[in-house]
Amino acid sequence: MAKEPLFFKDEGAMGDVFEVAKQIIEQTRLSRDERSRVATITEERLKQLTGKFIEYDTINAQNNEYRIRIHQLRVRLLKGELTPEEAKKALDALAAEREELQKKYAGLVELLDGQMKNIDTEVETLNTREADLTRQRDQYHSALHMEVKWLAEGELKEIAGLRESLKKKRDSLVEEKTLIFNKKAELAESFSLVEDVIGRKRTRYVSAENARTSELDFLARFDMKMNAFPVKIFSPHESKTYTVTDWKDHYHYDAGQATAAPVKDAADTVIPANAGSVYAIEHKDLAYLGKSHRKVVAEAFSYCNISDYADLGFDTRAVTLTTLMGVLHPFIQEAEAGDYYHVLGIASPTGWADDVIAWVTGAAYASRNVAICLIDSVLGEVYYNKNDNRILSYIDYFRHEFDRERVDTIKTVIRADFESVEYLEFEKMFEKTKEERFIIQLAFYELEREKVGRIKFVEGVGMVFMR
Amino acid sequence: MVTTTSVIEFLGKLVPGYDYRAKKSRLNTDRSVREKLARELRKAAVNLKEVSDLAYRDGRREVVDHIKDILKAIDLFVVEIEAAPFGQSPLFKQDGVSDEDIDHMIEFDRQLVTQLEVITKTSELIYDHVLKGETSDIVMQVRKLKKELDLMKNTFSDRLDYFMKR
Repeated sequence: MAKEPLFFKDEGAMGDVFEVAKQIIEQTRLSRDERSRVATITEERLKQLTGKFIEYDTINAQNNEYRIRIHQLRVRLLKGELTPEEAKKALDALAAEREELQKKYAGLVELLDGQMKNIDTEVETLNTREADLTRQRDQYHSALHMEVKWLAEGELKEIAGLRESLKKKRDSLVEEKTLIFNKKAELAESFSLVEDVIGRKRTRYVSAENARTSELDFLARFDMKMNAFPVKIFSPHESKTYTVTDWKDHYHYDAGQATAAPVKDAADTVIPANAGSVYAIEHKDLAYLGKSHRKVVAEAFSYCNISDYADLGFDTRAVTLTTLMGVLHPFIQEAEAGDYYHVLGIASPTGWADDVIAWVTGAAYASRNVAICLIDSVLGEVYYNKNDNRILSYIDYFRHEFDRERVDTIKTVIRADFESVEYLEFEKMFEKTKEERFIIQLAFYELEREKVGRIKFVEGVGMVFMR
Repeated sequence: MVTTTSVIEFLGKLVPGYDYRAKKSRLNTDRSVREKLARELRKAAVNLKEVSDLAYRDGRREVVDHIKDILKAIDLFVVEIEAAPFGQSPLFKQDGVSDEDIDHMIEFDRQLVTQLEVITKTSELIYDHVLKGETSDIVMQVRKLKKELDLMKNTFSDRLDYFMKR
């Protein structure tokens, strides 16, 4: 009896395996060539872009020079070295320069848009290639064997890798674009620095000394509260509350020393340093080993226009939305990259512009990674998104709690003294009462709001309370 | 001009250190290419040998004979590849070689590698179909493979001629 065939059963034809083999090889090669083409083109375009960004540095340098000129103009106006008319003329002279800079930034934005469009096109080409390859892989798989499938899968993995790197390059371009938009917005509002002084727009006078004390007060209070163990820290990403009895990751920093003027300027005047305090909860991959990952960060810092304090010895400008965006940008970027929850308490002794308050208290901004609480160091008011439940438990850490009784006592003293004189000097009140500066300052501001008098800065005398 | 980046990159991936430009690496590149060809042909031979064993087991003598024919051709070709007198080529002795010559060398290698890939892949596919019982046209496919092998031999002979007559 003939042996039954085990393999050669002739159950069907192979078809043209030779042609199929050619197709597989051709498809693999096409994919490889395509990837090589896309990688080369992307590389070239990014090289071109780097070339253009040398120009970006030049524009930034021009922008810095322009900003210094505006700042100097403001300082001279505030010191009375220029009349409002002269300042207006000087501003008109700077208008052409501002427009030129804005045009240049707009050109860079266009360039970035073009590059992003190119990357999108390349990604689209890769997607089409991926779809073809996936379809072919599935065909080969059903008709033939696993190995061909693996071959196609290898190509697909490489396409995924290339697409990921293109995505990263695109993200970095988006980031650059955001920075340029910030610079454009700063340029747009640059004239208002001088115009506000000319128009005598109501601003708050804060001396450098008071700004520094406000900064120290704010951070000292924050540190004290953060070290009143056990401290409860809510982590919305994990939906849990940590009970902290010891901070393993905590530090202070001093942005002013690294980026701007030193804490003491040439005239030995104390100026604020934009100092901050950071408390973080980190977890390791394993119980004791591995890389640490941040889970929650609570950070408090004070923000001041250091250049004004250094040049004038005081500042009157509330922090604007553009400035705040510039300050927040790196925090948002870092928190999103690390995917942790970052709560920021930012204090400003000169207060916050109306648009900033509207933005932060409105429900529009609700980020997964960053929550913001703004503090007015002088008035002690806090601004945050009340609809964002995640930040509520942190507000008390940032809140400026004043001793009401002490403020009321000083107010009574001021009221009594003010009845018999035309004006009261801040420094004399400080010497007389020996009370803390921020208490006297708050009393002054509260009395001004109660329309008892008004606060004014007098050259050589400092803050005065007058009728 | 065939010396495009993608071709060189492609060959460079298959044959590490692929470079005909420098005299010191020229001979090594040729040796590496030939070793690669011989190695891949042996892989194809292993697949076909397996198919032949299965055909023998199932009493398909005509399939065994056709595969035997192609296996013999592969064996001879491998010997030819390994023993080819490329070392005597003037192209490996002179310092400077024209771009045209380099282009020709690369083009020959590209053709050989492409044909080799098809032969190896086809042998794998034949083996897979046999395991699935789809064997009614196997003789036709084996003959096609033999034809591709003959083409590859011709290309290799042309390459040898080009190298030796320069």
